[in-house]
Amino acid sequence: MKPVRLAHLRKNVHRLALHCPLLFPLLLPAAAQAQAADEYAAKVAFIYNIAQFSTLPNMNGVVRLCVLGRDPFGSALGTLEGKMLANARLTIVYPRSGPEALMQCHILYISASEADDIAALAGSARAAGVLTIADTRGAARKGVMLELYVDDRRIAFDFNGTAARGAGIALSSKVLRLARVIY
Amino acid sequence: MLSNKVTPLSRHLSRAFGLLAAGVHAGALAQPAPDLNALPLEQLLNLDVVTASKIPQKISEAPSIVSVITAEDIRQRGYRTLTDILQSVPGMTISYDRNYNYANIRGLGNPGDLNTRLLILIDGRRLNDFVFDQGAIGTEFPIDLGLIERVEFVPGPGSAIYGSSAFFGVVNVITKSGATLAGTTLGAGRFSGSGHEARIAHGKRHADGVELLLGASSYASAGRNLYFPEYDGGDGGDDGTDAASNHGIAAGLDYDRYQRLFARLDVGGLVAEAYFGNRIKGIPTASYGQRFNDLRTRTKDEYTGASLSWHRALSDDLDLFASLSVARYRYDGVYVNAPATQATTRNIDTAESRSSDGELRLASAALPGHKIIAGMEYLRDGSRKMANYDVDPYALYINVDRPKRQAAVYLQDEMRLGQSVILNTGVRHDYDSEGGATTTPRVALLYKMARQVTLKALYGTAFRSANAYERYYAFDHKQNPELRSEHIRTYELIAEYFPTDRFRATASAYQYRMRDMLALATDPQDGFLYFSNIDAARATGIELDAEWLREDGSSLKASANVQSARNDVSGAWLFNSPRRLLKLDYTLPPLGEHLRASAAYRFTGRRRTVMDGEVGGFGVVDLNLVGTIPAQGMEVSAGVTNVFAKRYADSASEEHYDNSTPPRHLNAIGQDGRGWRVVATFRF
Repeated sequence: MKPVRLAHLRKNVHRLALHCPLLFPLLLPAAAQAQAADEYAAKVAFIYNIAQFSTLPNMNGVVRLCVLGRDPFGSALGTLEGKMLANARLTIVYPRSGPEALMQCHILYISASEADDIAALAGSARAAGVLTIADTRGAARKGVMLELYVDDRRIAFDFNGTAARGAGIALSSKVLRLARVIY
Repeated sequence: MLSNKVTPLSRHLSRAFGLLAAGVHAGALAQPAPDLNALPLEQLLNLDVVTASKIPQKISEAPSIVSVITAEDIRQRGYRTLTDILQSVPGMTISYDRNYNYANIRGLGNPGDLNTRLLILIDGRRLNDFVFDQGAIGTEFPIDLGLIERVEFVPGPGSAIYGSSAFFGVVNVITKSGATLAGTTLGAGRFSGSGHEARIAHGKRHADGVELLLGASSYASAGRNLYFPEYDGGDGGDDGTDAASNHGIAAGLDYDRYQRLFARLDVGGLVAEAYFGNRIKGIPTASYGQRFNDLRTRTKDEYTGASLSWHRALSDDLDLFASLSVARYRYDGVYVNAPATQATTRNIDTAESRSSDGELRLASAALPGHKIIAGMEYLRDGSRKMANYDVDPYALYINVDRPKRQAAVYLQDEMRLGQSVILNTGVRHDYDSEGGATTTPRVALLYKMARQVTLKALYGTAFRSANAYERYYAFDHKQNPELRSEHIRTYELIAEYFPTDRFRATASAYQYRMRDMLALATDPQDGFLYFSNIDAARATGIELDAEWLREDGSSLKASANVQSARNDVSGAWLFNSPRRLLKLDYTLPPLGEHLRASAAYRFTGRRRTVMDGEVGGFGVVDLNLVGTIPAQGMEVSAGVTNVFAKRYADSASEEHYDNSTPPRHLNAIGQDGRGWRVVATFRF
């Protein structure tokens, strides 16, 4: 009895394997319904919003948004290239080191790959008048002005006001009242 | 029948591409997302977001190559055992003799060696026992895969951190905490080979921050009847021996049963955990000169362990870690060695290893540019017992217990030299009351050549002290208590391209050189066999590895190895050492919110067998589908392994011979054809 049952199963499994590619497209209407935003696309939109609501020193017609370290944004960040902020054009820059970033950037996103140096970077960025953003846990406590994180499937942020004031950057109260924690 | 046909690679590939095409199709049809940049801040902060998957950051600063397999990888691909997980790792080949699984890492690892040179850790604590040094990677591994948070594999020597046995690599299995599991899950599975499984797990985070995790699982499989051509005929004659050996078919001997228990309690920085795993496996290969197809033969492996660890940040840049643990491993095997005329005689082989371990570690970043870790460990192997006896008539052959003690101190420093250079050094000094003192250093130089490219040069050393079995198990050979430790030195160059969180590619060239390797030798005085430090070998190879997490939710991993492993004394190609490996793993974009599919292909080149034959190269395709019904809290995972029923075999080791005169040795051991599995999980 057993060999018969096995042979029968084997046949069915084989058929299933062959039909899988044919079945998948049928399931597609379901795929189109899935609509939740990608974490980093939402973070890019958040950074854009912040840039609109902050007064950055030394603009001169161009706002340079920098990513220091490994880029987590994928293609999403490219959507900001060339966008206008009041009279300034936004441009994306990838500096090679901390010192280079401080010379060029108005807004500096410190990626998780640089987490080890985050306190030092935040300190010198504050002195250089650069708005700092990171999504490493505890970044705001270490002196980064905006710390992004995902909480219960929502983007949330903490704000370090002391650091921002030190850098001469003012953020609109519209933004500040949405912060979860203010240092 | 399909399984008998030769399936050309082109057909495999065309089918695989069919799958790929379906996946790409699914990705392309997904609706374009609305322009998030246009949303006001309030709305943006109320948006439902999907957390992006990322390649772990720390990989590029690690002083080695690290492979990480997450709980999500395990779920998505329907992995069932630690072997399934490790088989996805670059450079790893695992063979199976239908009793234990044996890892070959970058061309090194004998079949039948019980993974004595691969260190298995559970939450950083050693699982390998102290009688055989056995590394459990099959169904005898005591932790249920549903309770694993992630598995980290580091190829190459790890003795500078972990001491003995971290020879070819280290596998660290990290368990979930109560908060990660959050809730109760009930699971039931059915598998080909009449297998069934039941699982229950409960995890909870209490209001006061206390986390509790409890898990239990049970599995039983009758297995299939297996055919061994070597045992079919040849020994026949008038006495009906041939009929007794059932024409080479081992019937009802591939059964596999296990029970596992796990508990973990987290209270702040204090973690208490305990595990238990008990497996019984039939032996269908008549190993160690048994009568073939005798239903009584089996092995039992039981792992029990408990630990208490405490981690505390003493200040911003000083961390303290302390841990106490106990572990016990028990083995007993039933063997039917007697000739056919003495039908009642059974031989029992047992072992027991009991150990207790204390460790204290300090990590400091107080010195600018340095990260220093200093630690000490004390290990008491309170019992290392081995016994072997015949039941009826009773005859005792071995009964030994050789407890020992070990102590070690270690120091590591990660030193930053300017913006782009990290020098990572480490040294560990081990004292073993039996094997003496050993010092193992390692050095890694990391150079960030460009923002996206890191170069690494590694030098590592490791040792393995001769285990109780090699020293004292004198049965068909002599004891040799004077054995020294085995040693390895490795050199490796790595180039890593890691431009985004979603793409990484590495190329590595390595050479492993071993000396004082243990092997059986003959004493010219009396002609007896004994273990001696006589062998030396080296392996040289190249490994390429890439991983791409695409924005549509699909992911692609690929790795390839070209390597050569030779005995330094004879120049011979090492047993069980494939020269070519290729692995592909593709997860399709989500097929709707509730359905995911993944496919994996793994090719292993031909290998030399212990009997000086060869087993051919083979490519195997596995598929898995995971569907969820969130309303019911239900998830179904269904998979087909070896989809194209590729026939392949692994090399048998020396012990696979029966009781005929002369003994019939197995050259190769056939592996499973197409298999299937369905597992349903309810969460509430």
